[in-house]
Amino acid sequence: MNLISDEILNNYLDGELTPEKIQEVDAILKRSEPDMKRFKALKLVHDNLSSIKEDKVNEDFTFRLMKKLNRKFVLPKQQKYFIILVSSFMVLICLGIVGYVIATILSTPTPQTESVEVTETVQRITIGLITELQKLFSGNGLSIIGSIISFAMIITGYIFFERQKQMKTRLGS
Amino acid sequence: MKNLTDWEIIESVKHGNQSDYSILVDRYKNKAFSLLKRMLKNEQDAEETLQDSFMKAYNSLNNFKGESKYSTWFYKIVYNTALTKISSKKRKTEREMTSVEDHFDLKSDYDFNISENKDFSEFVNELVNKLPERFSAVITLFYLDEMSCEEISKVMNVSVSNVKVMLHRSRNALKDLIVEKNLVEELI
Repeated sequence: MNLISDEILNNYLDGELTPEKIQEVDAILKRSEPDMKRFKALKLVHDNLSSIKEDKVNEDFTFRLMKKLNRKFVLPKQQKYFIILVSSFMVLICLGIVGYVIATILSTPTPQTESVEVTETVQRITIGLITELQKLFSGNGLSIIGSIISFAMIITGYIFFERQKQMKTRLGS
Repeated sequence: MKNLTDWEIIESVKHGNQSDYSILVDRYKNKAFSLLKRMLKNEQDAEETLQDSFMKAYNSLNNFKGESKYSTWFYKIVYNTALTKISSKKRKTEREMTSVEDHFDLKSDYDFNISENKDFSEFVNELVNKLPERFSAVITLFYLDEMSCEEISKVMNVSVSNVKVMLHRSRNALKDLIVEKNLVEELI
């Protein structure tokens, strides 16, 4: 007949009993052979479980995983940054053009009349805007804007490909 | 680089050094694979699930605030991904049946002969693989990953006492097998 329950034996093995209870278990183990046999078996199981070895996953697992991660998360993120970068350049160029045109119109002298109608002011600005845009997008102006846009595209493209190259080098290492 | 703490690596990945994630992968892949292999009882499924788990962890890395250890947080993902895999393989009923209340009998499955099987630890390892998934998960996390019962309870989302019950029952099953076959004297 077992004098110690399996639960107490397990707690004894894990060192989770009070000092008094440990003394009590020690005494029973000394005089009860079946309990000692059970404890030895449990200890044997515990020792062998402590030495179970970890299984090894395929050697190229990390490489394949990083490649998959790159495809799923990193590349779309980089592409998003690229689009944001190009859009920012475009917005800056557009703002520059609009700013330049407005500055030109504002610097044109206006007739000094007592009361200028709002409609006249709007009409004057609109005509001025169209004229300036026409000037800007004809002849040399068009070439300059084209060059700026091309330059911006080359720079963003360079940044994008450099980042891609860096990422591939890191993955390779 | 290899001496960095988990938290330092996570911070580095969050700051855009995605390739540093491979250090974390190398650090945990084999232990997580061991857990999955024992839970899923299949090497190919274990590797697929391991890949899914690392992808999920990477995608949720911003949600990791360091309130618990990275290993606990990661193993929780691994464990839940394994359960999802088991469910998807139409083994849901079996999983639900494998509660703490259920019984399993290793004796009917295995017969260890000391003269034929010289390596007892190998035999024990085989028996752990035969345990129901939740029990083998507890054994693997406790012995291989050296987690405390509290940490295991967080990973498995069960109470600490349930973890202890599963741990004790797994050990007892193996112990009963040894006692019944009178192997104690031969093996010590």
